[in-house]
Amino acid sequence: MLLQSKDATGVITKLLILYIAFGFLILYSASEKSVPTLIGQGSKIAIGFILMLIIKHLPMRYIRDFVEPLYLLSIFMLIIIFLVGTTGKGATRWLNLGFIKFQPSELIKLTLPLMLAKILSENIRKPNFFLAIIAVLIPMALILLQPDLGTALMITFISCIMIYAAGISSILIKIITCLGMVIAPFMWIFVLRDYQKSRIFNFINPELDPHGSGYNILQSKIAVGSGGFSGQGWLNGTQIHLKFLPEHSTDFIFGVIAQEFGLLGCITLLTIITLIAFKIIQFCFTTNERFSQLLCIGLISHFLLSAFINVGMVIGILPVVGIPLSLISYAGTHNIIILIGFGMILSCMYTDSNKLIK
Amino acid sequence: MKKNNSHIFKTRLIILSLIFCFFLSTVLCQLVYLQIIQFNNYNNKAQKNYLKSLEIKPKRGLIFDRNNKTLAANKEIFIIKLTEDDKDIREFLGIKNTKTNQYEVDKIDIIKLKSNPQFSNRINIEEHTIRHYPYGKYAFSVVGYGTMLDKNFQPANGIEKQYHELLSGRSGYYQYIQDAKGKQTPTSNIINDQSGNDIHLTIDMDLQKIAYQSLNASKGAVIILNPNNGEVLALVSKPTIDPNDIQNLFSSPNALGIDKPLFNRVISGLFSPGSTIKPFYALAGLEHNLITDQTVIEDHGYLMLGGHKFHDVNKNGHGVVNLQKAIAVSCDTFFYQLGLKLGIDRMQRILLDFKLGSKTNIDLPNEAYGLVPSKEWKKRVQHAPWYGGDTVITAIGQGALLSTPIQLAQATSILANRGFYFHPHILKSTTDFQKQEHSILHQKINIEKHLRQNYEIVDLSMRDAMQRGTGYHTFSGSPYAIAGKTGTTQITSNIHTREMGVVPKNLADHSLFIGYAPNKKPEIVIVVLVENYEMSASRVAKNILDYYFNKRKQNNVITI
Repeated sequence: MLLQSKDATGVITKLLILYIAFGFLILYSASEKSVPTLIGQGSKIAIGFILMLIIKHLPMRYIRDFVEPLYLLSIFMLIIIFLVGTTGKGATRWLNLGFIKFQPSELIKLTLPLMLAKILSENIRKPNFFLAIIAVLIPMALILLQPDLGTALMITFISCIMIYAAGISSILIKIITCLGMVIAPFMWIFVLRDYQKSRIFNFINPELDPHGSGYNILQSKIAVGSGGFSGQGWLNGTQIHLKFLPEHSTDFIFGVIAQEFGLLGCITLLTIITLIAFKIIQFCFTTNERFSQLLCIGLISHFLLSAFINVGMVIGILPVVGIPLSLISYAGTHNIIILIGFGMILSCMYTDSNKLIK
Repeated sequence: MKKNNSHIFKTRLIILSLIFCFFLSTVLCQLVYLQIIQFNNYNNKAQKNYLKSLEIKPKRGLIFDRNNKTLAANKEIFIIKLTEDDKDIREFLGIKNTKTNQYEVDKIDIIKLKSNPQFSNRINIEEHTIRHYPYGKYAFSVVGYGTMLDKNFQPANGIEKQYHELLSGRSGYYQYIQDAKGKQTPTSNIINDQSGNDIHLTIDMDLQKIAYQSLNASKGAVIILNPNNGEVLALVSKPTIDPNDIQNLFSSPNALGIDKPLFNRVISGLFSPGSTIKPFYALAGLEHNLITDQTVIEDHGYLMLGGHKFHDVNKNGHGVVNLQKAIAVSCDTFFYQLGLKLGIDRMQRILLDFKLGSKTNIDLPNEAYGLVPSKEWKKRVQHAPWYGGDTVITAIGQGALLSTPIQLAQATSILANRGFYFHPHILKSTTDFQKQEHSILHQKINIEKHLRQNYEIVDLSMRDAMQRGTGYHTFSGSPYAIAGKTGTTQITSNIHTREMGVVPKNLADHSLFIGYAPNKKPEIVIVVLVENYEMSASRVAKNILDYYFNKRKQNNVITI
C-alpha cells in the first residue's frame, strides 16, 4: 500500500530526484548555460544526496545521541564566525574552511530542530518549553548580530511551529504573541537596517521607484507575469537572458521557472513540493515516536518555509529576503543542509517502518 | 493523558497543514493573477524592457517657386562643443566669442582639427540638419520659417506652417534589443521613413524680389495674382526679417516691436480700403439704375448732411462730374451722393458680393476677416442706430469698413474677370516621396450676375483714372493697358491731430493702389499698400508692372 511508511521513503527519494533534476534544468538556463555553475551546484547536491542516503540508514537513536554536541558545535561556529568569518554584503556569514566556504547559520537550521525535538520529546506529558525557548534564543541572538534577518526569522518560524506542535498551552501562546507585539517596534527601530526597511517599503509599493530599489520586485513580477500559461520556453526567457531579472541564479530563480515554463511549470514545482510534504505529514500522523514527529515537522517546515518565502518574494506577496529556493537556487551550504535534513526525515521513517515490521 | 497529548499533537498538525494549504492557495492565486489575468500587461512590460526603437527622422520636403528656385532647403551643419580648457582649439579656429560653448564649424575646419594630433581626440562634433532659406527676407512673407528643436521642426508661420504636414513626411523606426546592461542587438524590424512632399509654389521669385525692392524702406504690402487661375505670383509684407538669422531673430529690438516684422500685412493687416472701394459702389449704382454713365453732378467740394459738412479731398470741388470722371479724379462728393442713393443695405450687399468681410482662404495661416459694416452690425456692436453720416463715410471706404490687401486683390480680380474669380492660392503642386507630382486645381467661382456692360463702364473709368486721372503722373505712357484705382486711407483716430495740423509720421495716411492689366484681357492683378504714405503706392505698382511686362516681353520666363 502506498500509504505504508516503507514505500514513503522510496516515493520521497524519487520525488526529490525529480525535483533536483528539474532544478538543474532551470539552473542551466538561469546561469546562462554556465558549466562551472552547474558543476559547483552538482558537486554540492551530490555530496548532500550521498549524505542523505547514508543518514537514511542510520538508526534514529544514533542521531539522537549526537544532538547536543551538534547543537553546541553550531553555536560554537556562530561565535567564532565573528573572529575568523568572511564578510559579504555587509554581513558576516561565511566560515572559510579552506576547501569549502561554509555558512554556520545554515547549520543551525538543522541542529536547532534536532535540539528542540530532543528537549520537547524528553517529557511528553510536560515538555520543558522554557529550556526550548532558551535553546532558540541563543542562536537567534548570534544570528541577529551578523546580522542575518532572513535566517533569524526562519529559525523563529521553525521553532514556533515545533513548540506549537509539541503542545504548548494556549495561554503561553497568547503571552508569547503579546510579548512579540511589544518587542516588534523595538526590532523595527533598533535591529532593522535601512536597507531592510526599504525592502519592506518596496514590497508595499514597488512602482514607487522602478529604477531604484523597487527594481528587483518589479522585474521579477514582470518575469512571472510574462510567462503566461505555458511560458516562453526553456532558455528563451527574455527577463533572464537579457539580464533584467536580478540574482536570477540564486534568490530570484523562481522567476526563471515562471517565465520559461509558465503557470504549468510553477504548478508542477508546487505539486512536487506538496507531495513530498504530504508524505512526511502523513508519516507524522502514523508514528508514535514524538522525537521523530517533531524533528520531521521542524525539518519539513524549513523546506516548505524556504520555498514559500522565496516564491512569495518573487511573485510579490512577501518582501525581499535573501532566502534561496532549496535545491534549485545556486546555493552550497543550504542545499547540503536541506538534503541532510531529508536524510534525517528518511531515517525517522526508515527506523519506524523497521519497528513496524518487527 | 498520553493519549490526550497525542490528540493535541494531531489536532495541531492538522491546523499546521491547513495553514500550509492556505499559503499554497495564496501562491496559486497570485500566480494565476500575474500569469493569466495580468499576462498582457506584464508581457508588454517585458517587451518594453528590451525592445527599443530608434526614430529615423524623415527628410523635410523642399519648397520651390514656380520656376524651380529653391525657397527652403535642408542644410547639414556641424557644431563643435568646447569646454573652458579648449582655449587652444578656440585659438586654432579663431573664435573670439567666449560666451557660448557651441560653435558652428565647416567641413574644412573639421578635417584640419581631426588631422591635428593635438586636438583629434578631444573634439566633440555634432551634425545637425537645419532649415535654410536661400532667399532669406525676400521670401519670408510667403515661406515663413520654423526652428529645429530636438531634431523636431517647429513651424512658426507661412507656408512652413500651413503645409507642415505635407512637408513633414513620416518617421521611420528601427527596432533593436537592448539588455539590462545596455548591450544592443539589431533586429530585422525596420519601418522605412518617408520623406516629406516637395512643394512648388505659384510664387515667381524674381517678381517677388522686385516687389520687395520696389517698396524701398517703406512699411507696406504687395500682392500680385493671376486673376485667371488665382495663383499668387508675389506676396510681400514689409518690414521683414531674415529667417536664416535665427540667433538675431528674437534678440533684435524690432522683432516684436511696433514694426511687427512677423506680422503679415497682406493677409492679417486690416486697413480701410479708402477710395479703392469706389469702383465697386459705382458698379452697384449702375446695377440698380441709380446712375448711368451719363449721370452728372455738380461738385462744390463738400456735401451737407444734417448740418454737417463732408469735405471732398479737393476743397474747391471738381465742377461737373460724371461717373468716369468721379473715378478718374476720385471725386468724394459724387460717391457721398451715390452712397446716400444706394443706402447702406445695398452698399453692404455689393461688398459682400465681392467677398469683402470674409476670409479668402488663401493658404497662409492667420488670415483676418475684415469688416463690412451694416445697420445690424452697428446695433449689435456699438449699440447705436445707423446714421446717414455713416453711409457717407462708408461710401468713400472709411469708417468701420476694413479689409485686408488679399481681400482687395480678390475683389479686384472679380472686377478684372467681370464676374468670376479663383481662390487666391500659393501651392501649385506637390511631389511626394515616390516622385509623383500632384497639381492643385482650383475651381472657377461665379459671383452674383452683374451686367457685362456695367463692368465695362467701371473698367473704362479705371483705365481713364490711369490715363488721365489720379494715375496720370505715374502711368501715362506705359506700354501696357492698366486699369486701376488709387486710394488714401485715413487712420481714423487721427482726425483731431489732423485738424491741429500736426500729423506724426506713424499716424500719417496710408497709400493704396489696386489695378489690373491689360484691362481688356487681364492677366495680372496688383494691390499695393504703403503705410504712412512714405511713397506712392501707384509708383510701387508701376515699378513692378514695368518689370513684369518688360520681362515677359523679353523672354517668356513667367509662365502663366
